[in-house]
Amino acid sequence: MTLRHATLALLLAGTAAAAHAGVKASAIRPGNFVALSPNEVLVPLNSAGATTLSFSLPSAGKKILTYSAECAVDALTGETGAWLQLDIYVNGVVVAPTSDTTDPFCSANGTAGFDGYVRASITVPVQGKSGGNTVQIKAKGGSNARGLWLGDAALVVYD
Amino acid sequence: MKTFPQVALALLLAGTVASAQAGIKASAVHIGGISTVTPAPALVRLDAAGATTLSFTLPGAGKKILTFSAVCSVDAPTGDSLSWADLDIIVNGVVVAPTVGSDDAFCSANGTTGKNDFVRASITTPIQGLAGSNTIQIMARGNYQAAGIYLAYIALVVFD
Repeated sequence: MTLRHATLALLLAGTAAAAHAGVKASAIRPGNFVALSPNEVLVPLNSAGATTLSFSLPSAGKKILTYSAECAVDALTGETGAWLQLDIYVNGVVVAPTSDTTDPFCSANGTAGFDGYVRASITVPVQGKSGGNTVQIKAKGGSNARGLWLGDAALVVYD
Repeated sequence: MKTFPQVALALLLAGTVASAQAGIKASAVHIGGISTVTPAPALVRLDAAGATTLSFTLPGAGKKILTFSAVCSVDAPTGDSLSWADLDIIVNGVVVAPTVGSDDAFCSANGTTGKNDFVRASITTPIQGLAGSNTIQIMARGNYQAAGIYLAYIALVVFD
């Protein structure tokens, strides 16, 4: 191999590595997901209702995950302690700080029904592995929540 | 005039540098944070040991992106839905815009006394990194009639 060929090979390798930076996976779900109970449920991540975002990585490494959604909780009048909790699962393992059972994403506002909407957001470091990876979001009601609302959601994995 | 190999090598080096610099520079995730019974400014705990400073090094100076999110609530008297908690994000000892001052609410009271109506609030802002050592602190405080503030389940990420 000549110096020229070797240099070109290295250049192409470097270009390929640089091309890996950026968005690794994403999912957008327009419209509203409504659960009429506080029971834990997998959150749909796209318009087709898929609850798992799958992607592959050329190598293991830390990535960044951002999830945001319009959020509301239905609870009884006067109830401001009820909340919606999210657990973010990457490759089947819940990611800190969403691993606790009392980490609200949003809360009830003291009036019955779905209202007091807010766009909540979380960005966390996650560990990606070489090959196939999965992301799932589970939602659950806390305290006296009786319904959960997550709308117009956006999920992005990037570095 | 540069030869082909020289040009290719220069491009390779440029690409390698760009690739090596991309990604997470520092992060802190903690289920705790801060829960006060006064509105006084307080540094937010960033790990289980109680550290309030996140330190990291960079090979060169440059703009980075900082994202901070936390479950947030403000305790204020009944009927008060104006009181708020604000954050100052302090990078290398300097408060970064737009968190300068106290008018930038991260979350607010909801008119019922006690810490309730929790929401995960979030901010993403550009910051200036220094070559070598860098530090980040998050200062929180209550405003107006806030009797206390709550920030927990914090997630802080610096990346580019």
